[in-house]
Amino acid sequence: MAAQLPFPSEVGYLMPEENGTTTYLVPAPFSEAADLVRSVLRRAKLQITGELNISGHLSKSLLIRTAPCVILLASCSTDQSEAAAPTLSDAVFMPLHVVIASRGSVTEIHILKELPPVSSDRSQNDVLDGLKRAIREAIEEIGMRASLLG
Amino acid sequence: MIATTGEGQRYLLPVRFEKALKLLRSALTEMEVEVIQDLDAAKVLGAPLAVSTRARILLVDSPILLLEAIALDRASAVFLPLHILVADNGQETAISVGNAASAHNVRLPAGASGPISRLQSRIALALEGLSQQIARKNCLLGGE
Repeated sequence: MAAQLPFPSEVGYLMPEENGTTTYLVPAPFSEAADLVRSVLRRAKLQITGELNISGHLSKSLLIRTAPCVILLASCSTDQSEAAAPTLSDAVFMPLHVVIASRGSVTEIHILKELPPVSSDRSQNDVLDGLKRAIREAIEEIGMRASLLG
Repeated sequence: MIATTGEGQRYLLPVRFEKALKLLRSALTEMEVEVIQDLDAAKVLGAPLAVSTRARILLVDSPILLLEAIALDRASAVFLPLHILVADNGQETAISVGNAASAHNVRLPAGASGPISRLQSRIALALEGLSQQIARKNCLLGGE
């Protein structure tokens, strides 16, 4: 007969931390997928405040070639920001990174997972949660969650 | 002055904004930390900060640490480059180093934890060195 193991909480184990990112797959090559991501973010009225070409940066600095990878820096639209005054804590995390990485004929999109509140300050949570939700909803228009595809 | 908050580390340097930015960039360079993007916080947030008229968000990394972090999983780039917020506070400048992973107590993608922690240590050393340098200078100017 199998021994019954105690629940982790009964023996004082810490529950494993949650994965901090969510990955989506877009069935399109890199540059096409990158255009799609830019377009859905704009349609969701999000600001793309910058782009970081990570593979280009590594190639220039270290002379190492890696598969194409860019980070879109996404933040709230002016309307959304006006609804809740930005605080120092908002600014530390913003803009959020939307990572677009080539994986052969498909493209991976990585974003920060929607997680429990960072602080008890309601306005901060509103701004950050709203931004994370808007990014997720926009990406879900074009991509399939990788965890669902196994 | 250094304070650890839920979002990361905060420093208060007793120098004006423009000078603090210049000193910070030079201290980061000495620690081989690159500023790869410098953003106007008001533009990113859509409005000026509630507590400060001027603020910049510096996106910083070290290419070798970035490569190490994304080698196994490019999801690591969700957390890198790290963000440093520099905010005008009159005679002083507030500097915050963001850490989304520790603020949310989340598991980082495979291979990201070591490089991120080493990058944070370099930034902390740069800022602590800068604080001491300013304190020593102020001491000498004050004739103490």
